[in-house]
Amino acid sequence: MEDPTIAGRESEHSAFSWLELATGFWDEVSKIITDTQIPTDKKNPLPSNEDSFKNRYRTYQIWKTGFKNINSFVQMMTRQDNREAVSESMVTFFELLTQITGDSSENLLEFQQHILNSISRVGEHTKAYNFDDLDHRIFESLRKLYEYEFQKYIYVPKLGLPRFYLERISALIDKFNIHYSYLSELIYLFFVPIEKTNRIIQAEIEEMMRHKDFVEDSDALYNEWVKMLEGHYMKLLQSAEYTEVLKKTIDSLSDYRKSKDEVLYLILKMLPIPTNKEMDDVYRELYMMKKQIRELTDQMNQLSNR
Amino acid sequence: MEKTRIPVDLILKNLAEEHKTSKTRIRKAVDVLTHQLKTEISTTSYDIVYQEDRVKLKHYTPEHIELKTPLLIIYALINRETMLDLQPDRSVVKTLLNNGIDIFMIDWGFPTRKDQYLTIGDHVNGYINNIVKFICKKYNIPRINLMGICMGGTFCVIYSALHPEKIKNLVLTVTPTNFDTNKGLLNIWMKNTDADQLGETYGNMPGDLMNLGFLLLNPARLLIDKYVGFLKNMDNKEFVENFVRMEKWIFDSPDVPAATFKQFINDCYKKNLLIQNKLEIDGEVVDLRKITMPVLNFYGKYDHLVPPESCELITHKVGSTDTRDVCFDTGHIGIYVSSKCQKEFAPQIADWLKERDDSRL
Repeated sequence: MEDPTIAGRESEHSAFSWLELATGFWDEVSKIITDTQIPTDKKNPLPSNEDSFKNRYRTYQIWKTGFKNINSFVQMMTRQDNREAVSESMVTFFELLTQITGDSSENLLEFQQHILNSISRVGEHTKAYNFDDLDHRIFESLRKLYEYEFQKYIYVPKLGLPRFYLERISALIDKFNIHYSYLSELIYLFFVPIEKTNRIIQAEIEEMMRHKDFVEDSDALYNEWVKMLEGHYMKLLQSAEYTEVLKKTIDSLSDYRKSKDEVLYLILKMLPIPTNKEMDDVYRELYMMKKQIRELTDQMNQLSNR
Repeated sequence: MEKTRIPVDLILKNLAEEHKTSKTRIRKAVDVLTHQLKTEISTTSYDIVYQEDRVKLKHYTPEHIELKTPLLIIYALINRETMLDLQPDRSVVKTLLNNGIDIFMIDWGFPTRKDQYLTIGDHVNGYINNIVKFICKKYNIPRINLMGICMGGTFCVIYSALHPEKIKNLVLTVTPTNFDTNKGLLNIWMKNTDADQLGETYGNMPGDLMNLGFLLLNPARLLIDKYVGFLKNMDNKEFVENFVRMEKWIFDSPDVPAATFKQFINDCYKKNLLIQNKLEIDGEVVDLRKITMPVLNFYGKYDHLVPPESCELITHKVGSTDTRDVCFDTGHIGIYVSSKCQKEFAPQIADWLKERDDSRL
């Protein structure tokens, strides 16, 4: 792999040439705007009652300031004493970029490997009522890829006034992605018995046809298919793999729902509607009060019966 | 290698025949489906004689009363009690009425978010106890007969242990009391379920979510074969009516109050406290040895929701010396709705109660 430091040094020269060109360009633009567009007090006195003209003038002033700032910044960067610092930053940037893409490439390669393994198994012989060859690790690999490559960006610290809202929205996006991945895995597992049964029945039909023993009764064939499918499901649904994925799907659904409720809660807070949280507090108090009243009534009845 | 000959002529012949029968079936099915169908459930007449919050008490009065002691039926919080009166010719309620039994049945109603804090104790020591007291007062009797279905049976066991003086005879049907088994898929899954998290997320446990779970217990039969069967028989009016009734009942599923759901999963499915005499309800330990009244215990040999292992231990753990286990060759619902069990299940209950009723009229 190419050394990022060399790549950085090579781009240094062309970058500084570009910066010098840019300085010249912005300098020219600034002069053109100042000379031709902006009215000055002496040549074109500003009519005091024309608001629109005033606003336009203000816009020119903003443009002018902006161009000057850009120009100063570019000039500062191309100064001899700052060149070294700029050059180091560029190298660091390239190193960072390589680090990110390096991690991504490794994870992507691993994911690609899983896909290739899965493809290579297409058409392989399958044993009836056996789920040792379950190939659902591809989902785990996909989740890892997501966790290493994307999740960290979702949880980049949020700043400022909307921090609270952005954090909740980010959590919702993340929880949805995780739930979606587990749900996909569960759906995949759920269809494995159908795929397996179809393959076995297909093989049986081929075998029967080889012996010129064609199935005339489609009902009998269907009954055999459904019986085998039931058997496959019974085997799969009791397996540790399926139970684990089912549990994780339900847990991730709960997490996703909670995050969704948090976001909805924020929206509802702006409306004159009580939220579930607020109503739950009322219900809890109501429940406790009813329980106390029931107990007191029982005690009173016991006392009056004495 | 010999080349396989595909019998195209035979395939084409079969297809032509299938096409002909399918066409006739579809024409008939359209006729059946577009005409008035009798799909009402729970048609036996009753009166609502008591109500507390969402909970109602149904009273079915027989034409002639043979037993002085009335029977209170407690259904599970999952699905509805209408299953016992699904259709006129397959109605447990009707058979019991025909045997002269005065029936009360709890309709738990549809819990809302405000019911999420209700515990098993609130159901057993609250609603059930108030209803038992109401019936005793109405008839001026000290004890009643109690019958529980599935989770309702578990409630009955708890109630009978905590208030044995109020129960004359106890009938349990497909009642889970021993949860230390991996025979049913439900047992495996529930042990891996984070009930606290679900409770926090949903408030009450949604009935639809539970129904989805039940369908996933046997997807080949419940999601595919069942509807293939419907397609094959949709030209049969009676079949369609029965099928729709069953569909109505299955998917008419109330939510389960969160606190009860959490307690049931954690204390029963995960810790198996009930059968060990360690379950605490409202601060009181449920001691099964206090169940000294006669106990009749029904369960299904092929029950995939509450397997026999979950049901059969209770009669060995109670304090009663008069116990009987009855195992039917059927599943969880078959006990109540299959035509074979209809002839045996409810009549056996009636006979057993009559044998033990010293106050027969």
